Amino acid sequence: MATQNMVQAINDGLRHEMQRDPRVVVLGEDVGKVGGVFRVTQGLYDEFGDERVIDTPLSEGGIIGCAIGMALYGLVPIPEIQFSDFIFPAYDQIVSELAKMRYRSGGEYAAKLVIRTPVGGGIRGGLYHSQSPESLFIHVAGLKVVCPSTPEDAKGLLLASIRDPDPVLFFEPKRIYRAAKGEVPEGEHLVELGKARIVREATRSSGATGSGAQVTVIAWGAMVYEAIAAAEEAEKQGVSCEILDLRTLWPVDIDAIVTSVKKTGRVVIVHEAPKTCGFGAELVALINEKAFLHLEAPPVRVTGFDTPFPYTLENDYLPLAHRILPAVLETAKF
Amino acid sequence: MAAEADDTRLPHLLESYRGLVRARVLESRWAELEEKGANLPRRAARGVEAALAGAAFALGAEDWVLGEGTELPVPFLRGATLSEFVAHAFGRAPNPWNARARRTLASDLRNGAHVTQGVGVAWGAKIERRDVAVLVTFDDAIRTTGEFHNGVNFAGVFKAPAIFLCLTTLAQEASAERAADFAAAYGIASAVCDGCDFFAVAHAVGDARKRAASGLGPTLLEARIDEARASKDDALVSLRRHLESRGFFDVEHEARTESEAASEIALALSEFAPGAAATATASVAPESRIVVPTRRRTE
Repeated sequence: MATQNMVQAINDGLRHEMQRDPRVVVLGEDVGKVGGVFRVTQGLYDEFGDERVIDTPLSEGGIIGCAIGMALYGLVPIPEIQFSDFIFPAYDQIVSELAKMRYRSGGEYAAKLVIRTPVGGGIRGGLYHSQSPESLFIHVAGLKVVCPSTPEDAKGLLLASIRDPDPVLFFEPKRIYRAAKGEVPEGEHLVELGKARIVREATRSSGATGSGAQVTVIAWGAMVYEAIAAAEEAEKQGVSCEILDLRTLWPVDIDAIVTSVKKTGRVVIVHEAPKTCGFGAELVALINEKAFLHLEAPPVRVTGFDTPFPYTLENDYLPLAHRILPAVLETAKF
Repeated sequence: MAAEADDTRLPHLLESYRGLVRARVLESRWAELEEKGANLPRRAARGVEAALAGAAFALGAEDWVLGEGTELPVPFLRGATLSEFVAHAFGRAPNPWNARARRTLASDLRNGAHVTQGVGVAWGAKIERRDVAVLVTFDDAIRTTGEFHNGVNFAGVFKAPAIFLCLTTLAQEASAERAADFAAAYGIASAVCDGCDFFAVAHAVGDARKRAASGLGPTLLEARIDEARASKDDALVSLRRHLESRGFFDVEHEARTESEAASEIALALSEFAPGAAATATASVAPESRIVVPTRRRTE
């Protein structure tokens, strides 16, 4: 196994699938000769040519509309939206067309494609290069939504997404594009969609001075690392955290969540998106529906604020470890 | 100048005639049922049928059609049955427009989203080096949407084998400019044809098809439909005369085609909507009113 960062792992995954399946094509703004603004598609243009790695005009609606058409024809397009903040001109194509294609055609047509797009803050991109719109797509029946946190998962989930029969929104946390590193299996490597990963298990014997309380922390993407940092500090204060990395946001692995919440009785949910109507709200509702009697404390959300994403206050806006830790401790002692 | 069908395509022309008869029967029957209070799918046939049927006739069997879902003649010319339409209207089957085997797909929203999708289908065929063209039909109002401009732009940039057919009803044009004029801005070919003339549209689409097959990319066609003429120039009569002049059709043939269609819809109604089957028989006689594209009616 090679050690790769997330950019390299996704690039490796794209190359693997393009070599395996000649129907796979990549299209988007600057994905060809330049290799994408984050260089995720670097080298693919040289290897596969301009008919399979396609630089498009600057029109997200056109990119997704054409990608849907390619999928209808039988190709497996992987359009890139340069930043998830730019996805909204294509929202109608994704929500009204792509997500409903199989249903409204009675199964005659399914648009099988993977929309890749960098998501979240962490690069001082401000309000138009930092947003986390995942809940807007989770809300739409007919779409799957993925957000990896490790290079290994990024490759494995990408391959699984490409081979899935339905459309997938593949959010890539740009904050950890190069910061997250790890061993990634070479060649074939699939991670099943819809399965969360237990990053860290809660134990009863935590902390010499603490209460021994346990807290489930649910996170995804770049915030998994913030959850880990907060958990390490909480451990020193006698609180043991069980961290769930959802990996696939929809369909969500509710069984893993319920199992963990039943074990710990306490839950903190972390996401970058604004709190109101963020995915955390749905998770709280699901937990209340399925594990209410096992809760020892109210579920808590640590999220972005209900404001536009700021330029200068990025580290205050993001739910970093320094904001997660107090929430964990408060929940533990409730 | 109206093009006439090559004699080798007379069997296809006969199928077009049969398709038009079925579209007429369905439209007529739906009008009767709506007067009795039925809520049935929207459709646009009479008035635009010559343009739609002529365009579909000019395509090859492997070509695709993406439309707004109201254009009745197209699925019939590609083999759809009256039974499928009746089953769909009464909630017993999906929209027969959306059939992979026939390579037809409808955009239920009628907001132009299918224009870029059609380009994608054409682009996919080009990438796979298949001799396939894609006809994308829409009414005049769509040319004011961003989707239209996205689609034509992408098609022009990548020389996708797409044929855009804009149906312009002259009394209700979106603006004074001709839709075909937009083609110059995107560097693609264009043509204007008489939308009341089956053969004129077939000829224009046939030329665009050849251009697509030659790798020259897309064409933006504008079929201009004069409502006053469309009410008088019956596409069925035009086709019938052409077939008769080639000795390919006679009165007996005409009666049999209409009888088959009437039986087919009666059988379908008795199966999927027994209550409706008891009402009056459908007719293919021309009506005085024109049915303009549904989007126009809605607006």
